[in-house]
Amino acid sequence: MNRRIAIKQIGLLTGGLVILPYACNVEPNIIYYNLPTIKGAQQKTIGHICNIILPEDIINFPTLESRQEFVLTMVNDCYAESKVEKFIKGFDIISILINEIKFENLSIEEQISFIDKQTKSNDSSSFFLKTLKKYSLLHFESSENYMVDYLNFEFVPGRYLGSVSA
Amino acid sequence: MDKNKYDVIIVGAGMSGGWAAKEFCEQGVKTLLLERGPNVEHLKDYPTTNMQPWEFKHRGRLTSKDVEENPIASRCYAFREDAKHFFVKDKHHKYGQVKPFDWIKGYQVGGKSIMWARQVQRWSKYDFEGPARDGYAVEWPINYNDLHNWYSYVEKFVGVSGNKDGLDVLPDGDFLKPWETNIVEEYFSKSMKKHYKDRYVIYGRCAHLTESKPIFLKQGRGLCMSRNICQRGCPYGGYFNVNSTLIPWAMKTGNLDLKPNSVVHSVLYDESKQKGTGVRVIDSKTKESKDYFAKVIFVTASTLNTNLILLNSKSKRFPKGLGNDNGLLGKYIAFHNYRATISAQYEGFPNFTTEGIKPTSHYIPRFRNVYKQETDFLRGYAAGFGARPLRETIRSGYGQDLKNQLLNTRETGVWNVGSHMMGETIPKRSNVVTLDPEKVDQWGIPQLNIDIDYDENDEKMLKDFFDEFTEMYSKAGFTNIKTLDNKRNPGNDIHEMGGVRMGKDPKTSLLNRWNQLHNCNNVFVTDGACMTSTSTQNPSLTFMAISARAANYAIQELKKSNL
Repeated sequence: MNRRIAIKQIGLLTGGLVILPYACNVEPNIIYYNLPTIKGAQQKTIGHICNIILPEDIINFPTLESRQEFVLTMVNDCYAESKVEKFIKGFDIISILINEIKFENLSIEEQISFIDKQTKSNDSSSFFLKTLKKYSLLHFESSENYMVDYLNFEFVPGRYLGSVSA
Repeated sequence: MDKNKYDVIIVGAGMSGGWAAKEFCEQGVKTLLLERGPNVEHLKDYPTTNMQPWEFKHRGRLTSKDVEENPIASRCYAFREDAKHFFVKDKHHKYGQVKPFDWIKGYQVGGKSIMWARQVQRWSKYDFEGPARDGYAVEWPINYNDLHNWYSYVEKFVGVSGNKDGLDVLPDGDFLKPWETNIVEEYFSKSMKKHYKDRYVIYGRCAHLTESKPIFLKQGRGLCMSRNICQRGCPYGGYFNVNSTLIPWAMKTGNLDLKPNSVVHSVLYDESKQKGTGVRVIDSKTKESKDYFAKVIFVTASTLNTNLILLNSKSKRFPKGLGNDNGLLGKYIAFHNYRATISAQYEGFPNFTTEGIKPTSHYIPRFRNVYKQETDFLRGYAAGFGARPLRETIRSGYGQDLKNQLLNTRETGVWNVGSHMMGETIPKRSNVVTLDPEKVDQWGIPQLNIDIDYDENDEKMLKDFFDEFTEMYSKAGFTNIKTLDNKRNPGNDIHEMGGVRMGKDPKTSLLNRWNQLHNCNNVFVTDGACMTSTSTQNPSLTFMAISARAANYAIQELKKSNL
């Protein structure tokens, strides 16, 4: 594991342990300036859906930031205003629906089925869910271990061989 | 020596100015090198050079703010999260566009040499003879023989990898060993030889160190480690840029005074002496004005800024700009047409792949109208050629199934292949830059208005590229062939040239065969502005050779007290 990632994760773990007894209901306090209505609880919901779409695996594929943090950062920073609006509108629709069906009580298979069905809808919730999938994929596929172990990425190859047996 | 007086002033610390500085300083000439942007010191000022892909907050992507604030710069392929700090932001230096033109700028010591594509091909005699033979622009006052030795001189210093191919259309240079070819590139090269008598697929010639030599060790540069993220600046000095090579070299002589943050307003002219006497500089931070003086002035501020400075250098003798008696300054600007690309697939080598990365692709030299006019358009195009194994990653579904699919990513045995056109455009009187009569920039210098566009010749050439490459690809057995006109604006190629062209006749050109202004012979222009025509090759090597040649001529003339 990358040394920097390891230190960060140890920090997060120990920090969490220290805080836990006193702050069981603590929510992430990151403010995304283009997503003012998406606060701690909403961010957590988004993180949860991302994790259902593509499970986060911090042991085998550690990253510098959590999935939730990465996805929201990308939407906040890289989406133009019109896309941000569509994303928020989609989230509002999803929020109502998951409350109605008590999403958190469903099995993982049922949650996936809901996400799949809603991704095929014609409203903004489809855009919202596709965004979560797009950036969840990017987060996973750009993780160090995936790039190195599965895409054969080398930062300093020092060579180019043109005809290698596959 | 008076602190404002030098032997030579060079305007612009990019590739051309860097070469001039090296030559002057090495030969004992006290040199002032002015750069409008900040200093970028090799190693010290490459903030992203050692960042892994997963360390970038946006994984290399631009933010919406980047795109909204920089619609022009963000269209450049290298303006990404890892290197955007080396590009001039749109609001920083505005210009007028009579027609859409992407002026991509790099204001810093080293200029665009930090982010350049590093492809370096010599011109041939057919390129220099083009305008005279085909009756456009004006005749070049120099030919390949005038530059041959200077090309070698530059290549040996910067380090160029390539293969000696023995082609008269693209002369060989003093090369380091080439990067390895891959099996599909080799196959396509053989296919071209089989089907055409005058079309070649050769190793790309690029400014990367593939061999160690004493000169490179002396420069403090190491071998290219094939990271292919050169636009960030290279900690090994594996590719040539001004910062790793020319500036430290010139600095060591003790003859260089480098002044960053110095925006040149104009060249000063003394009517009694009939010479340029110096330059007026605006400090980019304090906006204060200061004059510097020298016997010789090299204007190498990059093509369009060189035009701007000369147009703004007005005097009683030269009311339309320095040296502009014939009114041609700022006219006949041309560029390279990079609009056409073609892609396909090849299934002939399913059991082969590649390892590592190479910082270049293969190259197809111009084959149209080389020896005689044979098409309904003038001149021709070169092209790149690259092949890489196609990787398949299935991203359907959700949850653990999706993750399992990602973990089953694999190479398919199919190869993706592709080419892009590098077309010569014809310098035309109607392709011009002028000074805005009212608008000024933040330094009080008139804004440049750019009026440059494609023409019918470019459209015909584009169609020919699609037809010919579709045929070449089909003959090679490539499938799924797709052509694309990416409609990019002129300027997006970052190869704008001309406006202060060289020529034999002062009535039809601005510069003589030594790059001196015909009417003010101690002022030299050796960057892209001096180009009479553009040919198809990436131009930087020619700019460097011309700069080295002109600087050495100026040194000889200084010694004879002729300047």
